[in-house]
Amino acid sequence: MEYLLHLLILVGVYVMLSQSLALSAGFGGMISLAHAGFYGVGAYTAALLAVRCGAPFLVALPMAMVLSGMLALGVAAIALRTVDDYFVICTLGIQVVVFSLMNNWMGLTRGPLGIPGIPGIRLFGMAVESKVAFLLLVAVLAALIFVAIRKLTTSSFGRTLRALSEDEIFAKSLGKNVYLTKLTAFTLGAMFAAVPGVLYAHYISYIDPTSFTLDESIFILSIVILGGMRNLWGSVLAAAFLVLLPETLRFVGMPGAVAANLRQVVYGGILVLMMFRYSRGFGAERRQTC
Amino acid sequence: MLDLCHIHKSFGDVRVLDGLDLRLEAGRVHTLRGGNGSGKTTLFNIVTGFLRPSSGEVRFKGRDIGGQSPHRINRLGIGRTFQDLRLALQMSALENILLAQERRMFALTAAADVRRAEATLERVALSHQRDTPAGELSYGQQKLLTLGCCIANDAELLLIDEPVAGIDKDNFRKVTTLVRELRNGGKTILQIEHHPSYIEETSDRVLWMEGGRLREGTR
Repeated sequence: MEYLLHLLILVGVYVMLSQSLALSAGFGGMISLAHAGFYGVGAYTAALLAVRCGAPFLVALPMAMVLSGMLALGVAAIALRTVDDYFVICTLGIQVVVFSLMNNWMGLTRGPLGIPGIPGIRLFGMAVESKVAFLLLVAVLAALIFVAIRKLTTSSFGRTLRALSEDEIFAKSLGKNVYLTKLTAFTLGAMFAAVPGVLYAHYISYIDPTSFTLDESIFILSIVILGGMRNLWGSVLAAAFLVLLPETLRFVGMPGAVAANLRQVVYGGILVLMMFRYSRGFGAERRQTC
Repeated sequence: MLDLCHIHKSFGDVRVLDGLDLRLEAGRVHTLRGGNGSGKTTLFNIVTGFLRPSSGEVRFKGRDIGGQSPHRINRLGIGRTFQDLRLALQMSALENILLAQERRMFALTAAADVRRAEATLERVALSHQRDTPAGELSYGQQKLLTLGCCIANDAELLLIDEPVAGIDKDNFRKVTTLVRELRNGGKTILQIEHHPSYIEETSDRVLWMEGGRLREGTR
């Protein structure tokens, strides 16, 4: 049971990460490989504030969001001068820089040694100790992020975002500030990505840079693509699928000596098959009606 | 309404506009004609901020708008369509109109907004295609939808690029009627078009573009 709850908490974390990336990459067409970096900024901010300053969760959470948002704002202000493939390469660079900072800034992050002893979350005087309570907290925050992003994407902001991802010139001709809209979407996505970072740090109680690598960014992007770029429910399904699939494969009888490698091969193979079966994702974008 | 004073525009060694002057009077339909590459679309791009003139002045209602960004110029009251159709093809016809009429960056869609967008769809005879993705409309219907987007935010000056090129008789009639209605409603229109009967039915003034300049008349 504890194991199952642990997996559901991880699913919740990846639901939040994929939803936040869907805002910029799915709706705005800004494919980013830096999302694990923003996730990591959230985790490190919470860890450092909790360990060094004893800051409570409700203080660390908004500070982590603001810091991640500020980083995204600074980075996007430059990266958004480029488009398409060039933008992706810019975000790859950002991811590498953020990871390098986490891995080498010994005075702040302790580099590869990581930050141990991150305390659990206390909310309104109560400790969120059990996995059930933590899962509940994750579910509430995931639901809030889902609703916020849904509101954003069905508002005028979301319409502009979708339009500019199709044709920026058309959006500009209708009086839309394309640059500002993209900047806002990218920044908001990074702010939302900090939330699962904070939760993860408090949940695992130890973080190091290996949790926030380029691989992690690619994994989050895979969830968004498999879910259907603009489908928030699809992202929920895809997060559950991609997090739970490797765990399920553990229970498939494979020869002991090659089990681990074989699982990777099967996992990759299933992923390829799923993309063939659902070429536009689990939830190909449903038509919007007003 | 719009004053272009001594506009020059060159691309490398190629001089496209060469001291062009133009004054548009409010509430009239002005039609631009000219050969391929004579600079008609370049002129549209300069007025709407997609290109900067090499030199010269663009004034809209007495205000210098030269060098301003396209979105700012649209918000001043200049709408436009493109020769190569530009729409959000994955979005429905209604959503394209909503997109065009919205002014605030963050706003939830109210019932009144939808009603206003539906009224615009009705004006361009596309009510029956309300929820159809723009990409699934016929070419003629897409042309009508671009006109709907152009008028959705109540722009005073409309720059329309080849509104009836390549469309069938039925849609031709709808576009002609709409442009006449817009003119009668006080809109100022600058359009590029070559279709003789369309020009005759809609235009108050016809201008011929050649050698980077404009002169009155059809040729």
